[in-house]
Amino acid sequence: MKWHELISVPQKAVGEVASVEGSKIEVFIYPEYFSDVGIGSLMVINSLGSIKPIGLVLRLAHTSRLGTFTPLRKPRSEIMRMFPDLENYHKFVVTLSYTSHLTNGDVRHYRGPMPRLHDLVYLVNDEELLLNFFKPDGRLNLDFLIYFISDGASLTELRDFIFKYSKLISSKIGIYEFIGEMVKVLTKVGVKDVIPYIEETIKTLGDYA
Amino acid sequence: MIGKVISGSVNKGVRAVLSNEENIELYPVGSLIAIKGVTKTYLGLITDAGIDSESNLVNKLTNLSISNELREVIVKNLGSLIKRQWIKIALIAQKEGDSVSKASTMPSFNSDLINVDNEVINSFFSRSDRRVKWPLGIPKAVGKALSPIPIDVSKLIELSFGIYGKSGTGKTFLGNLIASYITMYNIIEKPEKRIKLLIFDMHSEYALELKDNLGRPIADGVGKTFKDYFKAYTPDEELARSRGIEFLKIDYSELTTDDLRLIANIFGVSQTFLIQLDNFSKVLREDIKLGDLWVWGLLIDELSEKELMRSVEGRRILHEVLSRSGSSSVRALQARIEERIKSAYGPSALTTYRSQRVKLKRLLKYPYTYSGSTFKNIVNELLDPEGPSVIISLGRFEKEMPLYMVIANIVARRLRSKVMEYVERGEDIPVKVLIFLEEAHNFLGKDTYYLSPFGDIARELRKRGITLCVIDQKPSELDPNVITMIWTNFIFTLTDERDIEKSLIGAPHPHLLKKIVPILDRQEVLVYGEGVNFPVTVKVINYMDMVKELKGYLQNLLEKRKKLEELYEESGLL
Repeated sequence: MKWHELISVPQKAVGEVASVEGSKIEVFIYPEYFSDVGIGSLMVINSLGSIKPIGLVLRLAHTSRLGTFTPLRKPRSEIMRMFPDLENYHKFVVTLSYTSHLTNGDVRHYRGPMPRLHDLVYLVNDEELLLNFFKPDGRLNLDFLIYFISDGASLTELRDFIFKYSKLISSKIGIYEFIGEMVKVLTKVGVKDVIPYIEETIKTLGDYA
Repeated sequence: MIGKVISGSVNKGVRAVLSNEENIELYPVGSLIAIKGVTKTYLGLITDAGIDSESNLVNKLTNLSISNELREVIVKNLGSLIKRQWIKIALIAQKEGDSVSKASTMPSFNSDLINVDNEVINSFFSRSDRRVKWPLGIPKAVGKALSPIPIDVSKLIELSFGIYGKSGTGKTFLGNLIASYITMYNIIEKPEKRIKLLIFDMHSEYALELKDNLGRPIADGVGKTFKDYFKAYTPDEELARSRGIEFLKIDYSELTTDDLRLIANIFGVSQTFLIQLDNFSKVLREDIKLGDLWVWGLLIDELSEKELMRSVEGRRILHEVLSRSGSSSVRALQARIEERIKSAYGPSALTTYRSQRVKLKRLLKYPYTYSGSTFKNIVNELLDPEGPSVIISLGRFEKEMPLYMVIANIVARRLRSKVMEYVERGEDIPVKVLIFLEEAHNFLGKDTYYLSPFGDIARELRKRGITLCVIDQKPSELDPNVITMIWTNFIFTLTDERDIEKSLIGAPHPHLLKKIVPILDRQEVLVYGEGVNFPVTVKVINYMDMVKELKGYLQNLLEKRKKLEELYEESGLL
């Protein structure tokens, strides 16, 4: 799959930009896609122009639009039967860490212009695109983690990110290469004690390491 | 980028960090390295190398149960967080435009370290022209510098120079190489005054062949390579016969009391005897009337008489001694000597004489003569511009230090005396003489400097065109006055701190360079002084290959000259 194939179909969008503040982008997720999104999910925004922002999910939020919440004491299936339009009154929001951008179809791990409100957001699950994101020039480049960590991703978020892509890492990237590159990024962002990160990575990647 | 300058000073040395990708194992101490400053390029010698590490991180990493391969990947990528590779550099030279000079400024902060290539070597050290500048060896350098460091023979021979190093490090190879270059310089450049070499060759490796550690010959010495330009002498009669070398006999009438003092320690002669030696000499010369044969008065007794009687030379000496003293027998002679010593200097002097003089009888084992000295010829040949250079090889006497010292002192004294004749006539000697002196501390040591004629030569005759190549294993035993007279120093590995310190007197930043000397490899030499532009460590050029090359070069040159002369003759120009 190519990037433009993904972002050229509005029906495939999973949400839209709800707000932008600093390097963090809040994305309203359409309710039906909320369960598909997790910490570390990769998203691309179809902004106007040739530059398309790319980010990693840093935080998930799910609140009531009205600001009030009433306990129902019922299983989810019964609630859905009683209130079929309930989700219209709920807010599904994720915080994206703006890490990279697409320019003329090429991934660059630098930030570009900010997206605008209501720009459509797409979830990247395609292995070919993910691989292109991890290896934009054919070589592993985890510089996007610099922004991810700077925006607040702790060992916990990083752990989720690694877990999400563990299969891809083990089968298409190489665990040693990934750990080596990750260590390099951690030193770049000033992490003094990298050992817990290495330990967690090895644990998360399981027997591969 | 291989590294950056981060701190230091001109005098204390520069500290630079290597990039984490660099393999620190490729930065040996003693190597040349270049620094690209803002306006100047610098050349330095690495004096130390090391790694600083974050021990806490290292400990944690060590305790991680991961494969070694992964550990290596992590270490590599941790970069400066886990380790910092650094080198220390002694600045030796700087270049700005075409101007090259001693380093007097500090490279700017963050200046790049750069590899030393042939261009850098040639720009700082110039090239060998095989006329005046001859290849000494390939520099030890970070990078791919294959251009040899040249030694300027014309500057080298102007002043005395020293070759120091432990046994087996390559001093003799270098000595032969330098002697070969000087010979070629004479032939090619034809300097106004020819340089004549006087080589005291303890182990016969200049006159005959250089040997490997097992004593097997591996290359011709300079005397054999340039046999038309050298004449060799030896006190080893068999060697003289078998190799066509001049046999050298010693005339003990040329020995002085100082000569005996110099060798006395080796013979184990007591200090009391040496204190009385001038008195004994006076008795033998004047009272017993032996004159210049006074030494024989010390050596002849009833035991040595038998030995002397076995040779014509011995019988002549015995006859002359008895005749001069008016003694009827050796026993009568000794009785007269002893009686005279006792009456003049007391019974204790006599006891000393009796107990100690026998120790000098080792001199009888050496070839002696009373029929005129060969040494006179040696000196005349040396001072003759058309005559050969001279090598005196000990042959089978190679371990006989007293013989070596006796020969060297007699030659040196005669040489000095001859040169002084020129001086008194207000003339210059017609040649320059360079004396190669192995085990030099025996002649130029703190206790011997003022006794040995070499001390006089070193002090008085440099301006008259006589210089020394001081070769020694223990430079710390040389007199400090000698050290200050040495202007080019070739230092092979030394381990004694005092030796290292003495060998580096006169070097720039000796406190930095001293770290290089003990870890020099075999055939590696740190050289500094007049003969080279800047201090540098070189792997001395392979002598065997160079000898072959020089032989071919010389043959070619002489053939060309011959053809040219023939051409001139034919054309009537000659």
